[in-house]
Amino acid sequence: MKRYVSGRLLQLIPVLFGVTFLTFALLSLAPGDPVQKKLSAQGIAVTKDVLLETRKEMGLDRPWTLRYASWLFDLLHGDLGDSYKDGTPVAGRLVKAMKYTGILAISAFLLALVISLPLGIYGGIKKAGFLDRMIQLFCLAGYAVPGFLLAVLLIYLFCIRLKVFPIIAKGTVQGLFLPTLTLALPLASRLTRQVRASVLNQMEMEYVDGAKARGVLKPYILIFHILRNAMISILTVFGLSIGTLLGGSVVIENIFMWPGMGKMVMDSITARDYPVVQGFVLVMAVIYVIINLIVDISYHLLDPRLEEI
Amino acid sequence: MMRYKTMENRSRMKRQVIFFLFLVSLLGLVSLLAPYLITNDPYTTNALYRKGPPNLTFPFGTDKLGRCIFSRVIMGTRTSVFSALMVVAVSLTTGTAFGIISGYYGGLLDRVIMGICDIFLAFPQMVLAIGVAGLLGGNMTNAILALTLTGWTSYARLSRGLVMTMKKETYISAARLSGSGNIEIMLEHIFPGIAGELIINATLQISAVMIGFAGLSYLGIGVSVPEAEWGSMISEAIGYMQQAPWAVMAPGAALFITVFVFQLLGDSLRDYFGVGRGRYE
Amino acid sequence: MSESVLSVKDLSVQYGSHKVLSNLSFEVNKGEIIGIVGESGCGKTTLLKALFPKRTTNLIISSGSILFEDQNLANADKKKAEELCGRGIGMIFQNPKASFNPIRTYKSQYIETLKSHGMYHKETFESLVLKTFERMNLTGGRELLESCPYEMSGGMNQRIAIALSILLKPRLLLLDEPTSALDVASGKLVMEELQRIRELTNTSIILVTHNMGLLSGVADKVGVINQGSLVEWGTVHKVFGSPEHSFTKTLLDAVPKLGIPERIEEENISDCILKLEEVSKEYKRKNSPFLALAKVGMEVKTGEILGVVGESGSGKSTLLNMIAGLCSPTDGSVIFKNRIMEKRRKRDDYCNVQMVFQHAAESFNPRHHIRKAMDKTLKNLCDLKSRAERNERINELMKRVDLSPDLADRYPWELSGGQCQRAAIARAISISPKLLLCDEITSALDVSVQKEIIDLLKKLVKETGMSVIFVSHDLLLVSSFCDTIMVLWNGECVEAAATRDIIKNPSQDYTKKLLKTARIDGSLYIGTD
Repeated sequence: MKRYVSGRLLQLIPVLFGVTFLTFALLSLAPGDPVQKKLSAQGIAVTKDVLLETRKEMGLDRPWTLRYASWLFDLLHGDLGDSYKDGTPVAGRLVKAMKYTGILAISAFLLALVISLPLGIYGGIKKAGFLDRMIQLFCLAGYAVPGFLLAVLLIYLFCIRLKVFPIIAKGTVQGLFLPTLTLALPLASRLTRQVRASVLNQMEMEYVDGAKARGVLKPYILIFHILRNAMISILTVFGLSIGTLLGGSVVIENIFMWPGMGKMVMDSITARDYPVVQGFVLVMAVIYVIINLIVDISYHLLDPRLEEI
Repeated sequence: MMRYKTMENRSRMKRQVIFFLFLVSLLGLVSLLAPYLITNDPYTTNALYRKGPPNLTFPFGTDKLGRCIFSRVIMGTRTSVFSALMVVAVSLTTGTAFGIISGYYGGLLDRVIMGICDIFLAFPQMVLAIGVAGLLGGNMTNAILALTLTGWTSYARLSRGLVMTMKKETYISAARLSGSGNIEIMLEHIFPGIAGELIINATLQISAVMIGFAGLSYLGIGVSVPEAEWGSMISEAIGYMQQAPWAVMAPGAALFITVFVFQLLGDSLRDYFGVGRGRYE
Repeated sequence: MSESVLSVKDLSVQYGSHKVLSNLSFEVNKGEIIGIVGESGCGKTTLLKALFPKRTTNLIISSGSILFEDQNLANADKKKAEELCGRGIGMIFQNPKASFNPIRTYKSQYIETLKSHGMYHKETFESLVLKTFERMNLTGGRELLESCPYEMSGGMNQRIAIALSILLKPRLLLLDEPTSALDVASGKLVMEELQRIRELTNTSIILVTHNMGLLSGVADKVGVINQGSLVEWGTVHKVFGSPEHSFTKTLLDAVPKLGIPERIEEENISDCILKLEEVSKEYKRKNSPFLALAKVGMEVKTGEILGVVGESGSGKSTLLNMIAGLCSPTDGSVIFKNRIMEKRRKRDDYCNVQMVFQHAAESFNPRHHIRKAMDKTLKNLCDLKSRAERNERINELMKRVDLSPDLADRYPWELSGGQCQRAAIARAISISPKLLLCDEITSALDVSVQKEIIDLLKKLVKETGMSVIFVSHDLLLVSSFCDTIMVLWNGECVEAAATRDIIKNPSQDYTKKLLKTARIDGSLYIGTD
C-alpha cells in the first residue's frame, strides 16, 4: 500500500512537469503584454522607455525557458512567485481562493450524492415504471443543460421572480445556495444514470440468481449484493465527475461572482497576471491527480479481486 | 427464448435511431439553409424597436440593439453545429490514430503517448480550454483549437483500451496465421471493430462540445462579439433579463434543444448497437 | 425408497411462442438420483428451470403438472412457491460463479442464507458449518469460510455451494451441469459428494449433464432427452446397457473409448518434421515471473498424430502458440525441417504450419463472411491471383470438410459449433500445411459432433499425409486416435511415448492418475473394471 501510494506520487512529478511547462509555453506565446496591461491598469502613460524599464524590473526581459527554470527553482523552495498586478504572494491568494472553491465543490458534490443515490437505486429496482421514466427524463435534461444556462434560469427564477436570493454571491452562506444547485444538478443527473445502470447490471448477475435460488431475503440481496458490488462502477464516475466539477466551477464562479479559484483565474487571464494562472494550473493538476489516487485506492478497498497494493 | 423479446426491442430501438437521425439532419438543414430561413438581417440594429417583445416581424422579439433574435438564433445554429462537428471530427481522428498505435504496439511508444495523455488529463478540461482560448484571443478558430486540445485524449484512451482487448481475440491470431501483416490487421480487423463504439462516443461528445463552446462564448472568449452565437447572446442579454427575458430564453432554448437532440441520438445509437460501458447506461 | 417426491405429468414448456419441451412425464422417489442427458439445445436445462419454483418470466408452462409433495408447481401461487426455494428445492447452477457473490466471504453469505430461513444460531453456526465441511472432505475449515469466492477455483466454489445447500436440507436438489466447468478430478469429487448427500439426508437429486461417464457412476435412473421429448427413461443399467431408442445408441456410440488406435506409428516413414529443443517460455508478471513452459523437448514425424494431454494451465496452449509463431520462446529453439524458426515468421513458415483454435466461431472475424477469411488466407499465402480461382478453391475445400459451399457465404455466428469448426479446418488446410496444430478443437462441442470432427481429421491426415499435434485435456479422446502421446504438467513434459505404452504401462505417477480418472470417466464403455 505504502509503496503503491509513493509510486503513484512519484508518477505525479513528470505530469506536473509537463503541465507547468505547457502552461509556461502557452503564456509566453500568447498575444498580449502583461507589462502593458499592468501599466495601463495603474493609469501610467505607456512609453517605450517605461515599458522596457518595468519589463526589466519584473524579470520579463529574460527568455521564457530561463524564467521557467527560475520559477521551478523557486517552487522547490515553496515560492510560487508574486502577482504582477499587486505584488502579493500567489500562494496566499491561492489558499484563500481554494477555501471558497472547496466549500462550493464539496457542497455541490454532497447535494448531487443526496439526489442521485435514492433516485438511481429506485430507478434501477423499479425499471420502466412511471417514476423511473420521470427520473430518466430528469437525467437526460440534466445532461443537456449547459451550466451557465442553468445558472441564468435559476437567477431568473430565484432572484428576479421570487427575489429570495441575492444575484451576487460574494462568498456568503446565502449566496452559496444557487451556485451549489447549478453545479450539483448536471452532476446529479450523471450520477443517477450511473447508479441506475450499475444497479441494473448487478441485478442481472448470475450470483443474484444464485442468492435468490437459496431463498435469501430481498433486502439482503439488495444491500449486500447489488449495492455492494454496484459501488465499484459508481465510484468510477464519481472520480471522473470531479474533473468536470472543477472545470464547471470556473464558469459558475464567474457568473455568481463567487470568490473562488475559477473567478481568480479568469480575472488573472484577463489581466495577464501570469504567476497567478501558473499557480492555479499547478494546484488544479495536483488536486486532480490526488483525487484520482484516492479513487483508485478506494477501488482496491471495495474490490478485493484487484491486486494487493 | 430471450431472442423474441429482444427482436421487438431492437425494432423499437431502430425506429428511435431513425427518428433522432431525422431530427439531427433537420438541424443540419437549418444550419445549411440559415441565410434563407431568417426573416430579418441578424446584424441590422433597429433603434426604434429595442428590447421589443415578440411580434409578427420579430417572432422572438429584439435585443437591446433592436436586432431580430429569431434571425440571430437561426444563424447561431450554423456556428454551433459547425464548430461542434469540427471539434469532434479533428479530435476523433487524432485521438483514434494515437490510441490505436499505442494499444497495438504497446511498449515505449504506448508509455510516451499515454504520458502525454496524462498531462492533458491533469488539466481539468474546461480550464485548459479557457486557458487556450483566453490567452490566444477570443475567436472561433481558437475556441475550436482549445476544445480539440482537450478532447482528443478521451478518444485516445478509449481506442487504446478497445484495441488492447481486441488484440487478444482469437481471430486476430488467425489473421496473423493467414499471413496478414500489422497494417493489414489494423485496417481490416481492428479499426472496423472499434469504429462503431468510437462513432457512438463521438455523437455523445458532440453535445458536450456544444455546451463547452457556448460556455466559452458566454465567457466572451468564444466567437467575437457581433457574431450570432447562442452563448454570447445569452451572456449579453443576461444584463437586461428583467425587461426582455425572451432575449435569454430564445437562444437558451435553442441551445438546450440542439444539445438534447444530439444526446438522444447518441443514446439511441448506443442502445441499438449495444456497446458501451454498461448495457443500461 | 418408493415414496414419491416429484411427479411430472405431460409437461410442456415454451419460451414465448417457441416450444422447448413437449409431454414429459416421469416420477422421482425419495432419495433417488436421477440423471438427465441430451445434447446442447435439447431442452434439458429448460426442464430444470421449469421444475424450480422461481421461474424466469418468459418461461411458460403450457400444459401438464409438476407435483412436488402435494403442491402443483405448474400453477402454484408465485409467492407461496418461492418460499420453497432453498429449503424445499435447492438448485446448483452450471456456472460456478453463479453461486456466490465473488467479493464477499463465504461466511457472510452462509450467514445471510441461514438467517433468511431463520436457521442462524450464532453459537452453533461455526461448528455446524465446519462439521459439514468435514463430512464433505472440504479441507481448510475456518480459513476456507473466511475466504472469498474469487480466490477459489470453480470446482471448490461448486463444492462449497453444495455444502451450503446441504445445510438447508432440501427435499429435492436440482443440479445443472455442475461439472461441465470443472476438470475431471474435481468433477469426480462432486459426484462423490452427491452420493454422500443422499446417504446423509435422503435428498432426491436431479442431475442434468452431458457427461455420461460420470453419470453412470452415481445415478439410479437416467432420462434421455432429444429435441424436447423424453425418448428413454429407466435404470442406468437398462438405458446404458441395452438402449432401446436409436438416439440413445448414437449418443453412447460417440463417446470416446479408451483403447489403442489401429494405426501403428512404425509403419510410417520416420523423418522428423518438427523438433523442439529445450524450449521455455516465461511470462512477465508484476511480482514474480511465471514459467509457462520449462525446457520442453519434442519431435513430430511426418504423418504422425501427436496428442498432447494436460490440465488447464499445464502450458499446452502456449506450446502450440509457440510452434505456430504467435509467441516466441524465451529459451530454446523450434526447428522445422532442420531449420531454426526465427522470431519473425516468413510467408513460407505460415504455409507450413497452420492452427485450428478451440472456439471456432471466435477464430473468424464476426463482421466478415467465412469466405472472406478463407479468401484472405489463399490470397496471402497461395499464388492464386484471380478471385474466381480462389472462390472455386474455397468451394472445393468446403466440400472436402463435408460442408455445403454456400455456407461459406454466412457469418461465423450463423453456423453451428461443429460447422464452424469444419470451416476453420478447411481454412487451415487450404494451403496444404505440413503440420496442423489443433488446440482443444472439440472441447466446446457435443460428443456426437466431436466424433465427426475426429473422423474428419483422421480422413484428412490419411489423404494429405500431414502431421497433427492435437492438444486436449481428455486422455480418453486422445488415446482413441493419436499415434503418440505427450503428457504435460505445470509446463513440464511428464512423459512422452507411443499411445500403447502410455495406456498399458505408464511410468509416471501423474500419468497413472490421469489414466485412472479417465477410466472412471469411461468405465461404462470398457466393461466393468
